[in-house]
Amino acid sequence: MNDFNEIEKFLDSGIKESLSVKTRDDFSDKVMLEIKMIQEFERQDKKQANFSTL
Amino acid sequence: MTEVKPEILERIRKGETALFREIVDTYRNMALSLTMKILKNREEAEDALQESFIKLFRALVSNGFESRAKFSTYFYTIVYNTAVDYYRKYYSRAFNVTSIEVHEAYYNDGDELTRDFEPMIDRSVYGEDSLSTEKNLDIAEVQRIIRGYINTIPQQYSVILNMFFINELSHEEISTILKLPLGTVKNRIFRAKEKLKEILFREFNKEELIEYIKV
Repeated sequence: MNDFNEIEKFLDSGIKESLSVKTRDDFSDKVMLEIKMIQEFERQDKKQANFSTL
Repeated sequence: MTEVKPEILERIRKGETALFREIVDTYRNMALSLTMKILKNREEAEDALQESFIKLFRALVSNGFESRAKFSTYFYTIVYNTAVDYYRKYYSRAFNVTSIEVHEAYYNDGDELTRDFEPMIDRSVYGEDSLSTEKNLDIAEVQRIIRGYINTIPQQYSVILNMFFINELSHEEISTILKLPLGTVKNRIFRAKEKLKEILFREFNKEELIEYIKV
């Protein structure tokens, strides 16, 4: 590999490293919990709607 | 390139909600990196990202996502637009990735890339000859300079760099998401890298740097 490519590769990996950040550990748990709650509310709403039409 | 398998998307659509966690785990760090570039605040960036995932989930279960489309482009469009909405709410002004405001009469093309960065280099460390070819190469310092540069370049550049290097989107995909001409996208990535090269070669001996890289 020539010098030009070596430098490009080095810069690319340095840029990548500098741009990277990480979410907090419990991030996925929070998203999944939020989705569960949304689904539960929607279920309740449907139930309510069905009950009202009876 | 990380792409979610269509069968996973189909199973989520059919009700296997728990599988959505795979998507969240795969994309959360890469996507946070993008919302952080826009919002510059971890709390806001994580909130915007959480909302993006919920929008994505809703789109998947309501058939809003067409399986012919590329998942990552679709997802990052949601992430970008959500973060921009948050930016508007948070800063009470529009997020503008199109133009770079330049006020100085002595402005030269590309100056905005280092305007805020230059003062971060502590020249006193290098002595009067500053950053000369005699300086011993300190790779931690090289990395610090790269990090400092990336953290201070305008968002008009950092958002595009992030989409390219972290989100692994193509020039064309970035151009579509940001509604910017393809040439502008390519040019900003090129200029950002050229400026970084220029800074490093000004600070360090080129041959020494190349030798280090080769090891």
